[in-house]
Amino acid sequence: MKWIGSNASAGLPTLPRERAKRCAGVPAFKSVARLTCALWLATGGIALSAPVIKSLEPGTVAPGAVTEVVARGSDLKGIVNVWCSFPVEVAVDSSKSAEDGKSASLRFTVPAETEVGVAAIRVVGSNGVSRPFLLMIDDLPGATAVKGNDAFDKAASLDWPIAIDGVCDDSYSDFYRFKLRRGRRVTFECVAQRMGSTLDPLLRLYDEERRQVAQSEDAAGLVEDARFSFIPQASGSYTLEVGDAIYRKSAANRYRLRAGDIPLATLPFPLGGEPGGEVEVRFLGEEMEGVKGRTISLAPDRSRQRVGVSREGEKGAAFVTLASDALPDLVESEPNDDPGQATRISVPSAINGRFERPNDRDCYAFEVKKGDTLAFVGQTRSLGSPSALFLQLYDPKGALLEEADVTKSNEAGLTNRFATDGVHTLRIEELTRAGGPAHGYRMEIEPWRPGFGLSTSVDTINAKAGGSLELRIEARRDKGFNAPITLAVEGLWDGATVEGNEIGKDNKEATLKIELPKEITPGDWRQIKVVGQSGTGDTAFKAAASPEPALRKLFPGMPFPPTDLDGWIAVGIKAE
Amino acid sequence: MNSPDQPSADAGRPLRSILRILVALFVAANPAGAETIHFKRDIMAVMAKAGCNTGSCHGNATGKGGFKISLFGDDPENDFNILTRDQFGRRADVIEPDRSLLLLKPTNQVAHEGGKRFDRDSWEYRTLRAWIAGGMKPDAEGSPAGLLKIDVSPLRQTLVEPERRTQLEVVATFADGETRDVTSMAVYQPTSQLASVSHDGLVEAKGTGEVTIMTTYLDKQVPVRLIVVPDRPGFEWRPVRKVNYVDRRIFSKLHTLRINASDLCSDEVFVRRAHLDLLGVVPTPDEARAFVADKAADKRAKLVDELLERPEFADYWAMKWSDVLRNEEHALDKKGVRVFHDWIRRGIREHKPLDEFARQLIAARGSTYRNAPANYYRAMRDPIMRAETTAQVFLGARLQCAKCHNHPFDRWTQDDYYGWASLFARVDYKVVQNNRLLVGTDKHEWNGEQIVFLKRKGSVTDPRTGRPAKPRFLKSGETGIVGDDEDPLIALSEWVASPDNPFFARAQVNRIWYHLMGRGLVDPVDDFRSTNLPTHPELLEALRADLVEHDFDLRRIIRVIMNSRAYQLSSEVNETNRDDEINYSHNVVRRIHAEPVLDSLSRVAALSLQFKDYPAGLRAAQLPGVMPKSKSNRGRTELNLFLDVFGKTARLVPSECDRSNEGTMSQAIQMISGPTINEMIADKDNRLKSLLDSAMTDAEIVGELYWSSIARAPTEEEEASHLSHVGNSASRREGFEDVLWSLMNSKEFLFRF
Repeated sequence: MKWIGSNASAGLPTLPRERAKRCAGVPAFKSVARLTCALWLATGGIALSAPVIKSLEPGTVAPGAVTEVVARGSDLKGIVNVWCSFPVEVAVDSSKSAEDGKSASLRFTVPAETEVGVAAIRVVGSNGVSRPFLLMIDDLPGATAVKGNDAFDKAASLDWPIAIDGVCDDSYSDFYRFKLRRGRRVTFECVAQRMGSTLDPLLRLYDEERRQVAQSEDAAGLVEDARFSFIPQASGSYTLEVGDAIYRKSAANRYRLRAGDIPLATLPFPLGGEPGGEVEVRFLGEEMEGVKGRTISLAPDRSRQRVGVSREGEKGAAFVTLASDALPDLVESEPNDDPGQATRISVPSAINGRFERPNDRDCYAFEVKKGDTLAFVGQTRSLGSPSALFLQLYDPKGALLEEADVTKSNEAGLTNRFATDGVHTLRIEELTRAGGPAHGYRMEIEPWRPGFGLSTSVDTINAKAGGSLELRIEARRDKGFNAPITLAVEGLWDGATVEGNEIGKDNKEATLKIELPKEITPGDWRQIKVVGQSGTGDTAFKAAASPEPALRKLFPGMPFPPTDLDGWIAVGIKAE
Repeated sequence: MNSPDQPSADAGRPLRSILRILVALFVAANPAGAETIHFKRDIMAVMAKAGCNTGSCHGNATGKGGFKISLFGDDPENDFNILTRDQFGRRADVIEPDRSLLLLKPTNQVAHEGGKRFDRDSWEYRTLRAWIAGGMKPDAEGSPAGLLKIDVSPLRQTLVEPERRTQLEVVATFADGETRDVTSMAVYQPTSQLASVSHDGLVEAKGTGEVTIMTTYLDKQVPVRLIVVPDRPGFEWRPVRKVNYVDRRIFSKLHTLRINASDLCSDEVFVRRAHLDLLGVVPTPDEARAFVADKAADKRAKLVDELLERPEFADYWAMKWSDVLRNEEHALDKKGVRVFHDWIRRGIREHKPLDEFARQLIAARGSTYRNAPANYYRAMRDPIMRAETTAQVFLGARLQCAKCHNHPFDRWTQDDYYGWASLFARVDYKVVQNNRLLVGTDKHEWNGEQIVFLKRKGSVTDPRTGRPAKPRFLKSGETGIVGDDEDPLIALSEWVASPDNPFFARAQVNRIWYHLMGRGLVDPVDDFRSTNLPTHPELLEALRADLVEHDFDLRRIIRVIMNSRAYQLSSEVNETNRDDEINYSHNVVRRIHAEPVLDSLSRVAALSLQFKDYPAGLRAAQLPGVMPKSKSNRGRTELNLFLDVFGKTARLVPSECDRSNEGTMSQAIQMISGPTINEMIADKDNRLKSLLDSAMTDAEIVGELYWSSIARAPTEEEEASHLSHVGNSASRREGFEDVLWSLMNSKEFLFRF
């Protein structure tokens, strides 16, 4: 089959006879050649010495099992350490690693109790530490990746339950064929953007007549990933197409396709708890038969924690996110649609609420003193809820005090300085008045005073022992806060020195210069944290620098980069 | 009255002006002794009849000659003040009424750029003079009684030549029960130069055809339809078999007009026409041959049924809807466009009723990625745009004029306009992401997810009052006001798509008719108004009722139309229908639109298309969006440029009118020597290869090329000519390339017959 149009864009039409010679698009050809040359020059001089992971094969490890994983990329020879964001034993099998450094063999021994979900790894070699790469912990049996299944007629046949890795690199879509039985539910899930992939997955299911019988993209609570359950009307062979929603082809378009009886869970409820404590949760979502609640122990040092959700005794878990902060947790109490029925809450606190039906409204009453300033920070999409929030604050007489600006990209929030004593009301609605089993939110309410946030556009730095590195820190100051900010670097080697550790009054940035001691050996590495502080005692304000700008570039499809990586910057030591 | 007022020789002018005002005020304060001339009823009628308040005269936004009154008398209170108080009342002389500029100018006694508007012995002069002489009194509270209606007779009139005249009569009925003959006071405005109307309502036709005469008295309008039939000596009506109600209406009117319809088209023409109209692509040679060979009496109906269930039907008709719903990447981004297009196409494929389709769009909200209909509002960032588009797309009403003044040619008032716009005032957007591709260059570009939602409060301000306009449905009065606690879009969606809505179903069947017949029963298809009446009002009503009765089923209406004899008429004209363009007496030949041309070319060449950044094999009619133009034309390929040249719309206006099927020199150049055509013809794996590699004779190959491109066999003469050319060519392949080129460039290929 020939395609008309592909050559035309390059200005090289295959015109017949004399016309073709006259109109062969020579200028366009020259410009292409110049561009190619420029690209070669641009890349040729760069020496990439730190290890780089471009793919993992498979891109998943299994709880309670040993999984051999081949990391592919560059400078992967001589891996001495592997960091993972979850407890796991990793061994490097040098005998199976490539001499040219383009691959390394890693053996993961994953504890059985490890929750299904997505985690991060870095590898450390004598040339430094790699940037993070995301992999999945999956309880479904894995199939070996296939090639050439880029058309309906070339679909790869699979038995389910199963999970398989794929990449939409040289084709827009991959095709998989499954035997399905009439009346037996199956869930198809594509994990892509949650793994840092650039693929914006679109799943389409066809019957034997090539009629489309189901489709999914941007599934509730999964941001842009896709997932759906399907109960066949007839037994037979069904073909699943995995493609990119806007027809992009890229080596970074990797995905993991999962097929099993996976519940369509989106949220735990309550949505969070206190660090180091325990919280008893049930799970929200659709197709939740056989899913039971659990008691979860919250890690003392994490703001987010993934939790697997499966039907009792079944493989094929969904995974959800549990928040963790030091605020006392409260759960909404229905009916509370009207101010007169408002759920009474104390401040500070974290409210866990749901929009159980369309047009649901939740009202919360709380007491404040004149002059108090409170911040109300909502969380929905970052925790897996499809909801967006609309917030209004009313005074004791029922007059509207303030309304959150909901037109911006952030999750809704507002700050208010109260002018009177008394019981005020916070009214929360779903922005579009939607509701249903998957809709929930967490609202943190706590005293507020002007402060700052810090960020850096770096998540990984490699330097020589005895050398120095520079780290630019940017400050976002709240209105009314202009004091100097003192920066401290935690986690450095003994003997390291830091200069330039103050962001002056009214300034918005500083560049830290860190001198490393000479005694460190190549292959050593640390995760450091830059913490800014201003004031003392009651006026003290403290915040860690977030590498979120760097992570957003690394994982462009993720609206909320992995919290496992937030606040941390990896520093590796490379050889001379 | 549009030249500057003349300077008076009277040295005591200021004093006279003051005196005039005092007298006017005195008389106004003592109405008992005055003659009963009502400003709103009588003086406003004079101003309208004399044409003073039209847009080209003093009704203009800036007035004329320093004198400005409301357009078409929209604002009588304001006009009263202008006439009596403006410029110290110097336009009227209460003491010597005949010296009033209000009388001197329109009678041309002093220079008047607008010329003479009435005589000194006219009722206009007498009325105006009496009112001035009576002290220019304002109307008393509750007086005069309001105008309820006007009755015009005849409402429809058919004149057969040599008869060319008819007299109109206009009777006004007031709220107090009084009726008046206002024939001389009414304003008559023909929509074309086919007829003229005298001051007193005598209509005189200037030729044959159809014209609407808008008859206006005060704020009431009634359109009068006049048909003038040519005298055809010896005309003999040829009876035809009428298949359904479409034929009964069409042929009944043709009979009246003394027009004989063309014959039925051939099977070859029908199979090609049906494929192009329903699928947007020519039939394959096998499909065309099989249809022509089929001897079944009902094969045309069967073909229509079969094509309606083909996936290409959903693709092609989704493209039509995408055109009017502004489905383009600049505002919706590539993903939004695809999601929206998918939703439209799926709705058509799954037989979603048109009322449900409209409801879901109008009430839409939520993520533009997760809830596709929300994209309807994403492209329209202000209430005015949403209001005008919704009226145009779903009700066939262009409200734009009513934004600044009551619609001069329709029923819409400014109250209607701002009340309607207020329904959309609460729509707002949460911009979850905006990764603009053209950073800083275009604020109208949106790239990333948005959530469409309704603000809890909001309305449009009526600029005349400075107050919020109450949201309400069009022409619904107080009953159509949407309360503060109601969801305006849900209420609106129910009202628009209700079977009782007088506008919705009518607009939809007109749109379907337009796509199949090439011209709307009301044309332009989205411009229903009093001065743009349907050519076949009973047929429009019958189609409307049919759509409502059959659950707003798109396919039902398509079947009714395509199974009619009217649809299946030939393009060959006869002596009586040669000049007919609006009565469907023959098929109107029209150039195929951009996407069907390209898809048909690729089918003829047996080569699939490859659009940049889309899967190979996607047809032009399947393209979700339009590839927006940018400064650098980034990402546009020869195929996109081909579609542009052939009139693919940019989808920036919600109307079919934006899509052009006019012929241009650029199109000729594309077809004669453009890279797309040349690549298709020269490609070594195209249809020619398989034909030349087969055991077919040259004559058989010529036949195959004819069937594949124009769905018929060549005539003997055509075949001989082609065979001769091939025989004289340097190679067989080269000769057939030329045959293929000539077929692709033939009118029979590029036009729908």
